[in-house]
Amino acid sequence: MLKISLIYFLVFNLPAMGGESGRAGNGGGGLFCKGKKNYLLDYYEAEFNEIHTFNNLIGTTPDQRLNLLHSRISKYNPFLTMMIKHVRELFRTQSIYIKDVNFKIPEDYRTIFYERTCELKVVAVQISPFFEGGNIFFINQDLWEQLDVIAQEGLINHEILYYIALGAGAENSRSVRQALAYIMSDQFRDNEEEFITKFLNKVTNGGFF
Amino acid sequence: MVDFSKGNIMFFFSIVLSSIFVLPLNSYAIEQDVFTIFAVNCEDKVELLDYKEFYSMNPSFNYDIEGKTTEELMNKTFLRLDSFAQGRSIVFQHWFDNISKKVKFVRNVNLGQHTDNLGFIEWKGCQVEQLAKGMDINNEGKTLIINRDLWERMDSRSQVGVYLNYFLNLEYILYRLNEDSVNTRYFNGLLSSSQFKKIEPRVYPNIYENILDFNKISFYGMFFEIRGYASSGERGYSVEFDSQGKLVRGKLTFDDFHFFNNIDLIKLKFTNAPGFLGEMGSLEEFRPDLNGDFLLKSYRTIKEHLCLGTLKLEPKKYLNLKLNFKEGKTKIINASGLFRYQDKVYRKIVFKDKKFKVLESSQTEIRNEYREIKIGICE
Repeated sequence: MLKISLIYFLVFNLPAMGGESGRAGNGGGGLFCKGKKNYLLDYYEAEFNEIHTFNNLIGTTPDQRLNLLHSRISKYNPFLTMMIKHVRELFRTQSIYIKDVNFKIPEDYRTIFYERTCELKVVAVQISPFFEGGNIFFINQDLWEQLDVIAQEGLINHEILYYIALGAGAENSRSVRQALAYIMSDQFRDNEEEFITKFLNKVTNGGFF
Repeated sequence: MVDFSKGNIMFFFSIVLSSIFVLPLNSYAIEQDVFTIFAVNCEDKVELLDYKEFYSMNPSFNYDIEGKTTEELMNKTFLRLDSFAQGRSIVFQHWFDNISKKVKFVRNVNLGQHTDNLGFIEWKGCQVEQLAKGMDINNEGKTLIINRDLWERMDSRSQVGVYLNYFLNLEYILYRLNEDSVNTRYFNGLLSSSQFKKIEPRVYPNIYENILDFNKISFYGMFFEIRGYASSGERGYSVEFDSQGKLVRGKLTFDDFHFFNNIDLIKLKFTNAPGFLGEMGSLEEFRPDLNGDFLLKSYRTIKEHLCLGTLKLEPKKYLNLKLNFKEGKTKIINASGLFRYQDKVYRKIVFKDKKFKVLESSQTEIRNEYREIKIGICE
């Protein structure tokens, strides 16, 4: 009961802890490539730098991919998994899709490199709500519709982890991109607790979760 | 019995931590003497950024202030604002009544740089441009410089929004030293929208503190501290509103709105005891009684001799007032305490037949030299 109370308290106060209301956090990015599929930035970076591959996701169902994320995290940090589930509910109820707009490219995207045939764009942004019940997650609907379902799910997972990371003091999404890519990759090493904890700490900033 | 287990200690610690994080932290803000108001310039029209941004982020809301002309829209907005921030509504109306003396419309002028935060949205086919520059309205000369080329392409709604943005940011940026207009743009949009009526009054203090950075609010001509606090996992404030938006509890402060100088409209005036409250010192508690009147309780020393009509009250503690607010006028109905008058002690002074009188039937045998207030004669 205490842990559940703490989760509810932290989930609804993380935005306040992370910064003033209304401030936008750099969101989820996508690579939009001519003549090829479009990518979630987190997965694209990992593949482009030849760090990870994601063949294990091909041919799976949405439920299987969701269980993969939760099971890989819960083995080493069940509390974080519970938080992810609560924030997912926040995403479901407090997100909005907007058409005919672009979202501004954040500063930390300037160090990302990618193929010339692709364009790097911001697909989602999150803000600390101005007051309780306000919209938190904003998705560019035109770009969202150009992503396949694996990238769309990945974007939601990115936003959820980034929501937690912002509350723990993150200033950009770089660590979350690395963490999500590792957790969902073929290279995830299920029996290496120290290695996995290092990546989960990228989300929680080593916090007391 | 309190359980000091490790889990509970961590729980309470996290509450304290989060309280610290929500306190405003602009002690080291850089002073600005000018701020910018922005417009979104699209091919077919120009809109105030505040409204374009707010309605993009909240597509389920819509602009719902009725009226066609700038004056009609402003007056309706002031009515709406009156139940939310009474004192500031009066101040904004005063400023708007005199705005023509402070505005200058210009063409082909470089409005300089800005350091504002323009948010995260870019609208396809549109540009965000500087529409106006605002300076302290109390300065000599013109203090709101507006790009006429953009202004003329705006409808009345956006033009009204420009003035509201200016009034809000006079306090938010220039006086309270906030760095950008993100919050006031949001509030400006919210104020104009169908969502505003749905906000529960109990949430007002949260908006005052977290969005608008108010530390004081004015109602009934009195000043109240907002002052948030955390207790047992919940956040509370010193001010409280009933379901109609009427302020029903608050911690009084005698600190003025220093920025709103020379505007006497928001100072308390008791119609039957002018100047009384200003001399009183500290009044701690303000709350309604069962009859719909209001009680003020003083727990501090009255600074100087006070006159209730011809009754002169010496400086002492523990004076309570019952007030009545009707039709914009504030009247003292009675004062209660221990009053020593002509060698007898009474519990009440009442206002009756247009005079303040000691209430004969409130005579008491209780003696308490420390709490007794001696009554003399005011000329």
